[in-house]
This record gives sequence, C-alpha cells and structure tokens, in this order.
Amino acid sequence: MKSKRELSLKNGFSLQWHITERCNWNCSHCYRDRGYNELSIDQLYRIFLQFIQFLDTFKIPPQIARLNLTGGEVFLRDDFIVFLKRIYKYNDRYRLKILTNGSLLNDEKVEMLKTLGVDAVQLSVEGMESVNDRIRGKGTFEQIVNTIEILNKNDIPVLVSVTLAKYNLKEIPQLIDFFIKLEVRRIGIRRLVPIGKNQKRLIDDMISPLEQRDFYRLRHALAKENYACGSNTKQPTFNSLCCEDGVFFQEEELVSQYDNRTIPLCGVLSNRILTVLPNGDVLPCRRLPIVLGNVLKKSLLEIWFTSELLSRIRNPENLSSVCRNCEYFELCRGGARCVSYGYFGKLDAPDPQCWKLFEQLPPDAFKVCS
Amino acid sequence: MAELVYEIDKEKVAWRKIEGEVTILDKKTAEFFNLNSTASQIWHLIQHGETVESIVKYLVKHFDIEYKIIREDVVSLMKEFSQKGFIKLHEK
Ligand code: SF4
Ligand code: SF4
Repeated sequence: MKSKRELSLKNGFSLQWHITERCNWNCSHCYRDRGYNELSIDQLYRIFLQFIQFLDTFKIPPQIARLNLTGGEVFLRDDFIVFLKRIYKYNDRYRLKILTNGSLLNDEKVEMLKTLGVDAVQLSVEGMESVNDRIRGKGTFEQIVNTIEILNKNDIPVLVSVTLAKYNLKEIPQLIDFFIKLEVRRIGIRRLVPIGKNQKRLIDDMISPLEQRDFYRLRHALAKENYACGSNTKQPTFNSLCCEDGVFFQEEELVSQYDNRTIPLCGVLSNRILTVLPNGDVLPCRRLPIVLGNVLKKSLLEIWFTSELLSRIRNPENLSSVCRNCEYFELCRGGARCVSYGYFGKLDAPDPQCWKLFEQLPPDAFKVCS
Repeated sequence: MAELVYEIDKEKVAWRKIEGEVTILDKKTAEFFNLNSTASQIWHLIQHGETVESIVKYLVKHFDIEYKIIREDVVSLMKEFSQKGFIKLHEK
C-alpha cells in the first residue's frame, strides 16, 4: 500500500534526539540557542515508542535504523542510564549511538554503556589542542583523548566529528593522523553550518568555496591511505562522504572512484532523518532549524506524514533554477540544505560554498539569492 | 428536517494529497491507505461537509456514469470508511 515515493523509506531512518539542552561546556560554536524545560523520563519513553512505531510502520531493518541520543550533554541527566535500561528491550531494532562531549564518562559508566547496547560513541573536536581548547574550553582536548582511551579499552567504537573552518583547515592532516593513531573508527569532517545564536561568528569562520574544493581533494587523497578518514575501509566509498558533501560531485574524476551510489547525501532530501529537540519539537535535521511539529501533540509518524513544509523541502523541484539547470544536480541536489539555509536564510538557495558558482563566499550572507 | 452527513474523525485519521491522490494515515493502527482519484475526490467532498446525495450528484455531473451505479459505489465506499472508523455520521 505504501508505494508512493514520498512514503518510501528504503534508505533507512535515523532519529537524532536531543534529550537535554543543559551542558557543562560552553563551546563558542554551539547551536544551542534556547532554554527548554526538560521532559520527564515517562515522556521520553512515550516518544521513544513513537520511534519504534515509526520503524514498525516502514518495516525498517535494524542495520539501517538509527537512534542517536544527544544533548546538550546527555550524561548531565541523572536518569539517562535509567532511560537506556528502560529502552534496552528494543535494542535489536536499531543501532544506538551516543553523541557526548565525553567529560562525564569514566570506566564504570562506559562498562555500563557496553551492557546497554550502545553501538558507538561520537565525540566532537575543533582542531588540535590549542584550537580545540580555544573553542571548547581549556583542558577539553585532553579530556576528549582520555575518553577515547576509556572507550577503546571497552571496545566501544569511537567516531570523531570535526567541523571544518578557517581556524582548523591547515591542521586537518595532522588531526587525522593524530586520531588514527588513537584508533578511532571514523573521522567525519563536517561542514560548518551558520545557525543559532553564534550565526554571525560562524559565517566569519566559513572557508571559501575554493578552499572547500581543495579540502575535498585533500580528503580524497588522505582517504585512500587512511581508513579512518570518513570510513573504515581503505578505499573511499560512498559512505566516506558526509551528508553535506553534495557539491563534491563536481569533482567528477574523483567521484568516479567511489561506489556507484546515487541516493542524495542530504538526509532531509533523501527522506531518512528527523530530529527531536528537548521540548519535543521536531526538525527535519538538527542543522536545519525549522519546526515541523511537536511530538507531545502529534506522533512522529503523523508529523512526518502530514508536514507540507517537510514535503516541500524534500522536493528537488523546489530548489533554485541555478541548481536545477546544473549538470551536477542529480547527485548534488543543491549541496547542503543546512548551509544554504543558514547562510542565505532561504530554503531553495544553492550552496554558498559551491565553487562552480562562487570563488569566494557571496558577500552578503543574508542577501536573498536569486 | 436535519440532514445526515459524514464527518471525518480527525482523532482517528490524518491525510495528505500525495502525487495527486489522497493518502490516509490511520493514527490508531499506523497504517496508510492510498485512495484512487475518484475516492480522493469523494474524500475531499466529505471534508467539505457534503451529504451523500450531493456527492453522488456531483459525480454524476462530472462522470458519464449512471446515477444508480455511482450511488452504489459512493455508499459502499462510505460504508468502508465508516467501518474503518475514518468517518462518523452526524446531523447537519
Ligand atoms: S540538512 Fe545538512 S546536516 Fe542535515 S542531513 Fe542535510 S546536509 Fe546533512
Ligand atoms: S550549482 Fe547547485 S547543483 Fe550545481 S554544483 Fe552548485 S550547488 Fe550543486
């Protein structure tokens, strides 16, 4: 019955769920921009069951069903472990990842996570020690390294996420080398998305389109040598690209060496992600801050199904004619929706770091792009 | 005399037009139902509070099919919707 294209979730489904907005760090780049009342553990559990209902409805196999729990800092919630215990009986239905700053993890907690079906832990860094500590706070780099060692000891795969910006562009090779030696499973180098209370500063930290292109070339070269630069194989695969990397498809010669996969990278466009905020608000993606509904009022399934806005965002025909007429459109799909929206304030704008269109970032970030 | 009309039970269903046709989500069972184009039109008319009679008349006017056949089809579809709990009878 569910044969319509829009109702198909053949690419899987991933829910990013921010269960608290509280944090013990105060990173200068953080997207958090509102204070929320936290939901009770019973409310969280009811929302979790909506996620399970979602997986059931679309019969999503566990290998491509993902639950990413995050904050703020999740371990600041005293009941977080209790919550993990409560949902554990459904653990074979999805892959569970925790995104944390790691500062509150110790041996005892990590051993506990191991028994609660956590498949991976993701930590973010901003650069090597001095750059990282300038943004995330003094001593945080060392804490991250310690956490990785504890997780490694307990055999929990570690993913490291780095946001590419002016201040770390030059040290990316050093950073990759450092974290490979620490035996992390994957290093995801993500685009900087200018949203939230620090939007203006984030725009100042964005690299130019040509720098973005050169970074992709470098990453490609590094990915051939280093398993951790994007994926855990020695060859660059489609999976070694991040969701924001649509514009990379312009590098045809490099792309031809990747697995021949044609689904759009952006999870919103390929209809495989949703985000829930600490107050129950639902977004298409954490980095695309447009509220679609609230799970305290309507189920995740109903919001996903009825949101005209979501359907409009997902429809490539609604993207700018600049992109629709571009030879790379089928694969690029206008690049990263989040970067375009953050930068131009428009959902249909092309990617401001597209080097086919711009050599430098377009001058007025908030100017409407025609 | 008050007329009887069907009303969509919004507690039970949500719906949306996708690719030109209505898809209904049964919120209680989390199942989807795709309507064909005629059923989609009927759903649209129910939504606007039309009586069974006026729905039939509308369809007779727009399709070159006998009144009796259309009436049977509409009544049977309404029965199905009603059995599934998608619509309820109420007085206009
Ligand atoms: S909106 Fe941005 S971060 Fe979200 S899935 Fe798309 S490209 Fe990725
Ligand atoms: S013009 Fe648009 S579709 Fe073409 S490469 Fe640039 S962002 Fe992608």
